[in-house]
Amino acid sequence: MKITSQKSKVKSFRFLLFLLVFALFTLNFFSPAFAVSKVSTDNISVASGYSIKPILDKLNGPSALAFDDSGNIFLAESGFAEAGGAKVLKISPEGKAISTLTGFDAPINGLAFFKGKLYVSHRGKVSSVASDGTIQDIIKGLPSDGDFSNNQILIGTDKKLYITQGTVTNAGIVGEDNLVTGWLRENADLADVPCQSLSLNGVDFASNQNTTGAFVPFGSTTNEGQQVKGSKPCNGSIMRIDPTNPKEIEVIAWGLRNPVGIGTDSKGKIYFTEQGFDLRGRRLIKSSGDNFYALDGKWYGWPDYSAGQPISLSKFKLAGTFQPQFVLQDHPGKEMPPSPLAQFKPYSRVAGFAFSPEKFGFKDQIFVALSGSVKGLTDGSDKNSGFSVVRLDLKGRKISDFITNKKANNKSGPASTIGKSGIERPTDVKFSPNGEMYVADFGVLNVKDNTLKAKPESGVLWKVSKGASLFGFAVENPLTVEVGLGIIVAGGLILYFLFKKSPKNKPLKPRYFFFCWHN
Amino acid sequence: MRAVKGIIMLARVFKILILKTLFFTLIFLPVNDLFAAGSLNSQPSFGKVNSKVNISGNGFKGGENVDVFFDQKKIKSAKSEGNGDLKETSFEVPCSTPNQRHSISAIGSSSKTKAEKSFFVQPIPVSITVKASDPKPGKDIEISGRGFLSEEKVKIVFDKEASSSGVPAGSIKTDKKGSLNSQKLPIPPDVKGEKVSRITAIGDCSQSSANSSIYLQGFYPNASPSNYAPKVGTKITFSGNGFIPGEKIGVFLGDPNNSKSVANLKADKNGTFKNLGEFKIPKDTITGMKSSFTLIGEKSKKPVTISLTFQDFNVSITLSSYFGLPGNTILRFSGNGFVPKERVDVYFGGGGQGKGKLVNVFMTDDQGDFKNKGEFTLPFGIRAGENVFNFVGRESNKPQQAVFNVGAFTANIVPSNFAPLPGNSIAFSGSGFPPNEPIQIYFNNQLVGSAFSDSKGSFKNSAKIQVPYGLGGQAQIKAVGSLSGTSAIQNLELQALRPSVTPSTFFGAPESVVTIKGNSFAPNEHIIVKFDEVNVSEAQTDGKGNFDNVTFSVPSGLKGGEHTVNVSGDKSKATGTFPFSIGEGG
Repeated sequence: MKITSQKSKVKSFRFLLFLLVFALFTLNFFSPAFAVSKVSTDNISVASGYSIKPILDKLNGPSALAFDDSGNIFLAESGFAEAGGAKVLKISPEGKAISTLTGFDAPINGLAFFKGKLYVSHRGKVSSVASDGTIQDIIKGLPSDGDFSNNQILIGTDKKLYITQGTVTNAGIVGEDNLVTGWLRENADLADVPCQSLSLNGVDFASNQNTTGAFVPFGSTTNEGQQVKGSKPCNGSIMRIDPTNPKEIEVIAWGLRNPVGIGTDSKGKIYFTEQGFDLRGRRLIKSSGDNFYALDGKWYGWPDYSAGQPISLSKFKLAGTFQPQFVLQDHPGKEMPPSPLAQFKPYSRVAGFAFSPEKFGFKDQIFVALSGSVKGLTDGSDKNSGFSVVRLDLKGRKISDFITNKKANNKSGPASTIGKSGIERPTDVKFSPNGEMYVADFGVLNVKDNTLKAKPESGVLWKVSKGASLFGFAVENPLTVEVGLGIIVAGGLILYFLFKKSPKNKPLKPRYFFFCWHN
Repeated sequence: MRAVKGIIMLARVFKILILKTLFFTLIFLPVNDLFAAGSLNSQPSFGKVNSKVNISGNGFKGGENVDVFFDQKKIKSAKSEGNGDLKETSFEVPCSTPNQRHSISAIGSSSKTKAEKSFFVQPIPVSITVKASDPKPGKDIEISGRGFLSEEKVKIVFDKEASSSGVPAGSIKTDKKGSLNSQKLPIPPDVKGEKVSRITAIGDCSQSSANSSIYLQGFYPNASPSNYAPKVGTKITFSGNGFIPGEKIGVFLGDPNNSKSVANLKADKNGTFKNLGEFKIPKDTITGMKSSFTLIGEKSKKPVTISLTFQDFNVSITLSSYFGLPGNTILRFSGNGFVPKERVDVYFGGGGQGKGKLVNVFMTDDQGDFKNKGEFTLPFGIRAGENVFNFVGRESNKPQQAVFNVGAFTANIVPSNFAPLPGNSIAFSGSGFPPNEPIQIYFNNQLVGSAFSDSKGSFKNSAKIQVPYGLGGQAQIKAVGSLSGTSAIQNLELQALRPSVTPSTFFGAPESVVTIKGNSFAPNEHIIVKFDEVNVSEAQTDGKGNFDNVTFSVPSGLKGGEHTVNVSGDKSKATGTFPFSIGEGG
């Protein structure tokens, strides 16, 4: 009885050892070097031939991505809407945390890496971070205390720093909606600052609190012909500075609402995304959508145009409300503002984008993060738009879904809405030097108690690779995987057989496993 | 002595002769004559360039290399035979050899033995004829000819004189027979027209030349503008012909001697151009008078002057409607006379110092016209009556006005009942409001409901309310458009409830029980029965405001005689009264 028990124990031990070795073997075959997130990808739909997996989760409002020359990832945790502290994580290409940079003012909305320095766009500032971690402010005093902040940044082929800058208000009028965005409680003297002086129509907007005009603080009225002084830096613009001599600010584009993403194609031509009007505030303008523009140094029309069309058109009128009127008496320039190259659905809250490299496929097409509508902020309705990464082909001006959540519980939208694990609010898309796509996913953001609030630790960093998905990992050729799996299973059986048949006192030596392992 | 002197003299003369002979021999002896002499035969001795010449010779060192020269140029090398003979060989007379005597020589490379012969290049008789359909500089000329060498390049030169190298026109090539067959070449633009021009064809190899003459016409360039009455601020272009093909042409406004060109263009290969030399006419240009543009070709140098009259803008505007009500009236604009593809800003309500509010922006078409452009919704709150639109082209900058009459809404509200009783349900209908507008209904200045106007600005039986109890006399209802502020007021004559109470008896003793019934009170209201001022009973009306079988006891201790019983509704405040008599004996 005793002997039998001993034998049984040896057998059990051998079997357990086999399981352990086999598990190690198979895990090594598939596993990345970083800790695998528990976030499931089952409910995510990725374009055919590509796969997605989470790299890091439990992040606090990720907003921007950049890569250094070695392929290390810089990921900004924005700190927006109480998402947590504003910081930049440095992560190795294998997904291991290297360092954390702090000392920024929330929100961090943009990152760029150039010649050994990381550039960080955070509230009101762009700062450079040297390799030793020293932070130096390149520019301060950007007008970012309103609805929107300074957003993404770019070092162009001219080695100049391009800064996207949002507006203070949704449509030029400070109103009760700015209590939701938060800043009006703290700064009632704030108003939009144009890049050039403007003449006003004298159109004011009343509520039960007060009457307020355009480009003036809450409760201030305007007159026909009243001048608003322009200055630099200014709201709703793309500004350019020389990072080595940042004293002079050039305005490259203005009359924008909320330019967010900025990037170049393979020839160095600059493009940017712009979030269109929200349906909120005293001056209600039905949005025609979010926009993708080429940067060509013009006045883009805000707050009297939407995507190059005057808001005096009846299409911008919401039933039962006033037809929107111009607030400006003279529109800059001699032509109409430019039209976008492409438009995304209204309230998609378009964000970062990147041109695809050849390695990834869809060369020179654009992958765009649509962070998604916010009920109670963008249009006040339950209708969801955005919450996806789309592919934009400029040749046919066609937009196709690239990453979305599958419909679940008869609902579509962000993971938090459909009640399943998945993507929430993609805020940035960038390609690593080796051609893999990374997507920053902000996480959950809602209006609660009339205040915009982010859910801490709900953000995810996703990686999208070329190839089909198997167990959440990218495989270039599914047939190879099937063959590979067959080999693994067969190998496992052989190993088990060897274990079972090996002399009792001479178990297999580990070097055989390592041999298998490394081959 | 004489003989000696004679001998000496003879010796001197002889000496001088010998010295002189030696001197002249040394001075005039050709260098070549220093070489050892050989002999050379050449056949033929006369020939054209490219013709074959056979040579042979002897007197060279056996087996040495013998170089053959044509004039000073080495053209061949051969080896002498063992006996020093040069075996027959041949060469071709080189191209471009002039028609004159030339030397053929053979020199042994080691012995320096030299042999020489003369060769005469003969001229080749060539001829050409020329013709041209449009014999002008820059146009093509057709050249035919014969007698040249096979596939020879022939240079064509205009007006070649002894004192002038002429104007080269280019080269053409003969066929295998040495002929030119109507080959085309453009006449150089530099050749002067309006005269007979001599054309010389020179064979590049044969050096033979032939001449022909042709009368070249002069230039008669012509040009026209895209518009003979252009508006200031607009762009004008030019078309023309008769210029030298490919020449640059300057466009001058006014006197070309005193101004710089305002535009430049280039004629095509036919000397023509179409809609080139775009020039935007300055806004400060004088209008209504003859002005001129002059076009001068850089090579032809013949000025072409165009007269035209600049026009001021004569814009006209048409509105899709000249009368409308604020709100949903959408105006569109048509017009013409603006600068093509200019932005037109539309201002509304200007007057006095102000230019009004910017209300619309659109672009004109290629002709400076626009049709049904813009989309202007008359805003609420604008002044009724005449209002002015100002159309300002961003390029033309000549404001043009159009007058528009803004109407006023005359709204009214009608209740379903002008004299309702308290508790009655009434609804409201209205008309004359802006279409599709939310309307708020007030009853005695209290918001009581809302309506929504239809596409005609009307609403019907909306905002049902119950007339409050406790009111009487006049009440006011008001409907106010929430966007337009348009309001309508109506007065109601509220009727009072007139309840009646009927007792089982009008007479009784104290503490006797009386049964009462009543009607026309408020439905389901609490009623109080007072005998004089004393509460004697309470009850509830039914859903119709009636009550029945309500009893009370006649209070004791009251004097006999007439008393009053009041029955009053708690909600309606309505009162029904009847007299009740208590006997004197009480």
